[in-house]
Amino acid sequence: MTDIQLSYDLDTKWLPNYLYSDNIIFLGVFFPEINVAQNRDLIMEEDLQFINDTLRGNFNSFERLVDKYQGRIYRHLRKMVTDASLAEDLLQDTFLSAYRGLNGFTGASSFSTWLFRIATNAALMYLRRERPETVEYDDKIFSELSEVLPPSPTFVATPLEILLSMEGKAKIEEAIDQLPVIYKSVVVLRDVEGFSLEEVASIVGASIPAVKSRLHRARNIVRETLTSYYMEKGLSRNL
Amino acid sequence: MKKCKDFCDQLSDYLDNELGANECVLIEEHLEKCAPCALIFESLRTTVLVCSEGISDKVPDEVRVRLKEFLRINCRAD
Repeated sequence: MTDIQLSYDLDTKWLPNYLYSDNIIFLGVFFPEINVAQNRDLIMEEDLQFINDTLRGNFNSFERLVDKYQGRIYRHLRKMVTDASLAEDLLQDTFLSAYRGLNGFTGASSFSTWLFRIATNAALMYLRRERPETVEYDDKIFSELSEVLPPSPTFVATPLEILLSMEGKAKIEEAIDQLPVIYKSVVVLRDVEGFSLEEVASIVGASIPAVKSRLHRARNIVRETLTSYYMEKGLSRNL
Repeated sequence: MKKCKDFCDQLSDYLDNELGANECVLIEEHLEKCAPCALIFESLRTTVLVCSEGISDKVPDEVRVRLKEFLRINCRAD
């Protein structure tokens, strides 16, 4: 048996810049991209080791992969289908499919991209079958309906500890949950999971321009929801 | 002449480093002199930041246990 090798070019732009900022300064900040690429390389080397060990019959290595990724996959599925019980079923299906398909993993993408593709396809198959109205969404209609909220300083002036408090996090979840599935999936994969645009496109089976367009709309819808919420709450210390 | 909406339509790509150097300069110059657009940019950046930080990846213990059992039974049956 030939081991799978790390064989693709590293994309140093795989994570968005704001994840490396100090959360205060964005423009002109230095981003340690080389270290990110090296870290990513190490993560993928470790995954490949687990995969090769699994293929040699070591089931414990597969369980290490499950331990490593179940949190992110479960979060992604919860966002896609909302229902916790269904997300659990899909979580189990995803890892079983991954195990059964591990021989077909070539290393052409990262293991996480491959795994998220399986999970996304499982969720989309379910939604197309059981809730087709949630998947068949017209980009154009949504674009025409959405109105731009006047800018307000309230949201950006709200301290991060409030934005990320239990209540703040619940509002973020709610804002994402209200998005159509095609928008929700890209914003979760890009902004929550940190996949590159190319990886998101590969996972959801869309073109990069389509992903960018959906991301633009999704982010602005979430932004407007959060802006409205904090304007109403008046939680800013500056008010 | 670009309008505010044109700049705002590019902010998501700007956050993702998807724009060319010239376009970045134009946006940065615009944001410096246009307070409403700067506010939209800041709120968009804050949105992306809180999304990246705000959603837990914790798996309930019972879900974790059932997943492990499910895989042990079904994978080993293969």
